[in-house]
Amino acid sequence: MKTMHARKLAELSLMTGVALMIFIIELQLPNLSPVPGVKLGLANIITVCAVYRYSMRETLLIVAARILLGSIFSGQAVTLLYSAAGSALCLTGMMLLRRLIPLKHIWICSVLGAVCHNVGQILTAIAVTRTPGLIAYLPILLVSGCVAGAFTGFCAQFVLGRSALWRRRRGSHF
Amino acid sequence: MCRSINAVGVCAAICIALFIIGIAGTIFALRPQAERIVEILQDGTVIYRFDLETIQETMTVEIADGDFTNIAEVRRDGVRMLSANCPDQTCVQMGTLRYRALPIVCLPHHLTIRFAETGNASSGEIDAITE
Repeated sequence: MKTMHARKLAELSLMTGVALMIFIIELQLPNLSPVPGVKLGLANIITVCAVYRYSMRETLLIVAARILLGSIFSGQAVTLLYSAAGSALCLTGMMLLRRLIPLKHIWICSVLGAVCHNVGQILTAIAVTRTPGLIAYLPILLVSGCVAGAFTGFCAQFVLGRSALWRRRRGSHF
Repeated sequence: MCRSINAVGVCAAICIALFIIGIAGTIFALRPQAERIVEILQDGTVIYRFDLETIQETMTVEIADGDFTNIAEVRRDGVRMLSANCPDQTCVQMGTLRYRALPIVCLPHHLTIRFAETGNASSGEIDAITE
C-alpha cells in the first residue's frame, strides 16, 4: 500500500466535494428530456480533469466516492448500479485514450468516455430488466453522449487551463 | 508526433461517426407508430397485454410486488404510468407511450411498458391476465 501525501489527499477530497456539489445541483435542475439517461452529467467535468491530472488509482477514488455519496445524498440508491457500471466503462475507456489524445483535444476523450458510460448503463438496464428491446434507446443515448461529452470536455479544458491547482506537474511531490 | 496526430484524427472521426449513427438511429427509432397492442412486462415476462382498439373507457392497472406499487393508466389513445412509489419517478415523467423504440421503463421495479412486436400478437400465446 502506497502512502498518500496529506496534500494529495486534501486535493482529491476537494475534487470529490466539487464533483458532489455539481452532481446535487444538476439533480435540482428540471430534466432536459423525458428519456431516462439523457442528461448533461456535469459532475463528469471533474472526472475528465482527474483523468488527465491524476493517476488511475486516484481518479478511481474520486469517482467511486462521488458515486457512492451522490447516491446516498440524492436518495436514489437504485441508480447506484447503473452509475457504477457506466462509470467503470467510462473510466476504462478514458484511461486508455489518455495515452493517445493530448490535453488540447480533451473533448474527444470526453465524448468517447460519455458514449462508453451510456453503453455501460444501457447494458446494465438490459441485464436488470431482462428486456433486450431496451437496446433501442442506444441511438438516442449515443447522440446525447456525444453532445453532453463534448460539452463537459470543453468545460474540463477551461477548468484545466485556469485553475492554479492543476498547474503543478502530475506526480510531483509537494 | 505524427502518430499522435493520427490517433487524434481517428478518435475524432469515431466521435463524428458515432454522432451520425446516433442521429440516423434516432430518426429511425422515432418514426410514427401504428401498433395498437401494448404489453406490460415484469422481469422480461409479459404480465398484461391490451389491444388499445378494444379499450372503451379509461382503466387503471395496479402492479404490486412486495413493497413496489405501480399504477398504469390504459386509455384508448395510449398508456402511461400514473404513479409509482419509487423515488426517481422516471417512468411517470416519461408520459404516454408513443414509440416502439422508447418503452416506458421502471428500473427500480423491473417493469417495462411497450408496444408488442409486430406479428407477435397473432402467435396466439395469450398470457395476459386482464382483470
